[in-house]
Amino acid sequence: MAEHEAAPGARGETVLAEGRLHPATLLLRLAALARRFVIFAVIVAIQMARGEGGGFWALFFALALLVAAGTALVDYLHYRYRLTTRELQITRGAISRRERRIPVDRIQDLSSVRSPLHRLLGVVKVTVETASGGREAEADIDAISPADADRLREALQRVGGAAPEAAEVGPDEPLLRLGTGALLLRGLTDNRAGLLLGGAAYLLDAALDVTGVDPLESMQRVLERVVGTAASTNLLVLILAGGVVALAVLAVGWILSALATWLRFHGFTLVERDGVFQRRFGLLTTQAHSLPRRRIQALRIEQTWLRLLVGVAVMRTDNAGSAAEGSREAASRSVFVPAGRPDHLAALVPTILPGADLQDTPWARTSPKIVRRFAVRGLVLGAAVGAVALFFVGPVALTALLLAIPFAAAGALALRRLGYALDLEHLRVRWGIVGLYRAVVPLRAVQSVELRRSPFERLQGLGRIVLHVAGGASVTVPNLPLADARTLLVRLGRGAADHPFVL
Amino acid sequence: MDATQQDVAPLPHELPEGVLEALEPTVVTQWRLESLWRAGVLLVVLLFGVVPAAGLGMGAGAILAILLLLVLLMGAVVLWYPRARHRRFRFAVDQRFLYVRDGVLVHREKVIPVSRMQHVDIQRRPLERLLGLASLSVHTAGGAGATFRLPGLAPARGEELRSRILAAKE
Repeated sequence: MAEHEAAPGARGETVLAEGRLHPATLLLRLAALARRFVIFAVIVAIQMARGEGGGFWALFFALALLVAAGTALVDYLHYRYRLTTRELQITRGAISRRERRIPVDRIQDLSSVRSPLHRLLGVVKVTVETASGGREAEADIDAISPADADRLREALQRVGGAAPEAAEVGPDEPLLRLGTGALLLRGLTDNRAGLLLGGAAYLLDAALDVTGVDPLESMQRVLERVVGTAASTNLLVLILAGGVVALAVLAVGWILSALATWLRFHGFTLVERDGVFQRRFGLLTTQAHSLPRRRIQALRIEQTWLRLLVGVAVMRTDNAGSAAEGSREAASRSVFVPAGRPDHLAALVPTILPGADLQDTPWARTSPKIVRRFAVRGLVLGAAVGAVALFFVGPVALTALLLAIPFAAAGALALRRLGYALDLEHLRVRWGIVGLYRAVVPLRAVQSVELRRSPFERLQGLGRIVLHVAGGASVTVPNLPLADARTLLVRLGRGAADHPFVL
Repeated sequence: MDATQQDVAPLPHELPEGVLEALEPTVVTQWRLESLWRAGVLLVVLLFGVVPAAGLGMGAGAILAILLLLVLLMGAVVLWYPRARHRRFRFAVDQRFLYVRDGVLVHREKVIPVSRMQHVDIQRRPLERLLGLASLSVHTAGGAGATFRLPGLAPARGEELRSRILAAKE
């Protein structure tokens, strides 16, 4: 790797690395356009088949494509990135020059992402992540050669900004490696059906117009043949047919979602090196992200009821960027480990946050009054529903008040789950009604603590503690008897004061 | 800090009334003016919503009655709530913490360690300047909810608190 000599920059700053986009970027942009326009093109084709002004749309579409391609070319020609000792500057634009400047100490991570096309063309996309970017990168450089990317990363490391990312996984034993099973379980327990239903509805509608065949009707005929009787009760069969179609769509969507998760996180590996966690994953698109331990403000292990049943959990972290003066950090809750057996993930906790342990926790309980609170909520809801239903079904509507019973049961479940444990270094909290959610917060991350009491909580002599960590996230310990809440408030405040905050 | 001093550090609700400070009474006026403004905006929005409702066949009398009720309600809030808030609001600053006790409907006791305060500003918005008030802005790390404002301070008191906090940080 050739040494890149530092050269004086425009304002006399030392330039550590600079460059332009790799020519392959044009191909990538073209591919991205094609992807985006495919959906558009499909819609245009359907509209044309319907006979609704297809010609106009086709022309509009062609023009849009031309404009987009031209813009991409211009952008490529004028794109420059430059790293000085103080900031990363990205300049683009021909007529109006837009300059993006990111202070070096705000850069949390320079991740690399490689789609199959990137790998084919031999380039890499570098995403600059700062805390305020949240789930999206603050900026990305798409695309440069791997050599340039390494140079950029090394230069940044010299300046002390981002954490180094290893070119190879290295001789370290990975902390965690995920197999297909865990990832599929995670994908199967995701909940993205809603999006697919929308798409399915459009397709069904279009199918009717284009082919002249009503899918529901054809389903009905198929069902008739299967059931063997003439469909005298049309309504019933129609409902059945509709139900079958919906189920089929959901099933397909479910499987596709699981497949997408598997593709995204394939081969997930977690490694720690010098206090920095490096995660690599992806089958078609490969990604590498690094996260320094000190940026982790809270660690969570989460299981919805379905995941609890199936035995898979997700580990997430709340992170914060650098502690630059006056900077507004946004919360960034990211997936740290996408899937895993709950006991395996819990066993990882002491490695991620030394001194913390979720496995043998002496959970302190909260107040049993929560059952009553839930019951009251059920009663109120039942009264509201009953009052409305009274007009329709008469006095029978009063049975809605019985809603208090399942709500009380939920309260009992919530009480069983709720727990907290504060020791010298960490606060651990546990909650959930049918799911199980656990969080560990190192006291160094605590920014402020609050004790809140709504009128109802005051009436019952209860309170809740809300803990704010850097990055804006918070952790709540609800349903505490007032004395316990006050003790926890003071102990957390003192604990925070005793542990300096370092990013 | 030695152990005895740590143990003596009180709970916010245990701080004796002398140590806990209240805000300047003028802040009630400030809050009333601010909520009057907000209520006015709300009223205008409602008016624009209510006039079309007349077209839906609701009697003019009913609409007028509802409007009157809303005005009375907003008036009560503008008059009563700021004073109630002032009565509840107490704060104290010591070597290690800023304690604040406030909230009318939802009671809140907040503890911010001095070591977490990244910086402390004095802010004087136009209305505050008019009324001779200032507020202390305390910034901690992290996100939207990280800046805490202590309003309704006499400017001199605000500066004093700021110096005390900055001194305690060293």
